Amino acid sequence: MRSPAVCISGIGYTKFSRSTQASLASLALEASLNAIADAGLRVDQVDGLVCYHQNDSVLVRDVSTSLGIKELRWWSDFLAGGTFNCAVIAQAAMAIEAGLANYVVCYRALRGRSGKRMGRYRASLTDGVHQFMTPFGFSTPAQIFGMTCRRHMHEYGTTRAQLGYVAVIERTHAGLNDRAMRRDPLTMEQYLGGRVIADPYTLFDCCQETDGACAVVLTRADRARSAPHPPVYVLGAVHGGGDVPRVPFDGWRDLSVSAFPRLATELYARAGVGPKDIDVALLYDAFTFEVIQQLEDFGFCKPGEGGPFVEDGNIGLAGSLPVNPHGGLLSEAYIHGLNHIIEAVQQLRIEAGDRQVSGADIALVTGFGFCAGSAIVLGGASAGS
Amino acid sequence: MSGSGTVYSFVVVHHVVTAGFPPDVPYVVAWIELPEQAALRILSNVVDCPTGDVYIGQQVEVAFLDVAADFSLPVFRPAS
Repeated sequence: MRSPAVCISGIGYTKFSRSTQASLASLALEASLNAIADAGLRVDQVDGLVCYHQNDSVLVRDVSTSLGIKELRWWSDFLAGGTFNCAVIAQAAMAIEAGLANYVVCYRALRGRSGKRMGRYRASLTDGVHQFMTPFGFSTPAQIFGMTCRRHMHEYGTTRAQLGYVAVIERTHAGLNDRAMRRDPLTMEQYLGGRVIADPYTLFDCCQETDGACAVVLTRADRARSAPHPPVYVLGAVHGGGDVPRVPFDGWRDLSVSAFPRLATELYARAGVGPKDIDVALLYDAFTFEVIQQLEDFGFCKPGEGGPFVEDGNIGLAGSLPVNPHGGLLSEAYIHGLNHIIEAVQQLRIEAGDRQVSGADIALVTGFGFCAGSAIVLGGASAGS
Repeated sequence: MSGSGTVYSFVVVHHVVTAGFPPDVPYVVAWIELPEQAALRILSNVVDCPTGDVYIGQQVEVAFLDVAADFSLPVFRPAS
């Protein structure tokens, strides 16, 4: 493993809710200031800023001005969704390695419940690929991604109960996490009786629309030596798509396999680790099935065995591969996956309290869009020694 | 084109947030694979069939739903 050049030195977040009274700018600023303070920095040391958004957020030029950044040397706004949570980390790491910036803040701020809600595009959004979707009543992520789940069920016999284990186990984790939005225990009976959204998906298969923000500070590893918290190193990153990197997967040959098997091979090679080295996985779980799919795609089990792998208890806190100890997008919050990075950092700092994965030192984080995505491997104390 | 197809995957939409033209809820949105070319699929509705009876591999055929005087949508129903 090569000596890691870039690390995450600060994290910040707001309260997660469904009905914030705060503006988007306030959310972005609060998370960013918390991350900057967590990194032990002053605002005037920050010289890089990057966010991703779905035309639903506050952009860098506004946040930079409001933060009072003195010298913005590198910035970018990406029009992208959950595929970009790890991509912004990769972009920031590249900017730092190239010497374009010293301290980069990455943020995602949204009012996903009280503001602009995903999938509610109305008939006005009929441009591009939507012209072939909207007339048939097809627009929401649950509808679009439900197609992949159904195909996997057909190919491999994946069951509703196996999806249910993902929801139930993640809810158990969320019960140990003060900032999680859904913390009441969820039983399998409740899961199976969930209101149908887009069959095969019911209410408990879907993540929750959230108001809130997360932010992360990255810097060169040698600049973080005196930071208040132990650095979390970026060991490798990947960001790409399959041969048809577009929702809703028109032309995709096999809907039971995502773009991730190819990207995972590249990521592991770059990071110098393999699936057996991963201590904790933050798998993008906008929907339950995505966890099952990524367990297969990242080599934790064979294709088609993701359902039984989950059913056998492997993804619990005491399992062979703890997944989403914070409760995930399903039960903690949906900050488009940037909250996965927050959790990975807390786990690798060994600061995750009751939900701490014992001995967590290498984490996988993913941002999943089925036909495209990003992923990173992060390393704790041993990576810096 | 033959107008025939096979259901490749589908969802049954119960929770409607953007109204399309399907008149009833729940309704089925499916990827329909066309026999003319491998992996050539069209997104459409499966109609004239109870939602619980739609399945992957089902043979379907095109029908045209007249939405307005000058606008029809290709939808699919079970093959006769």
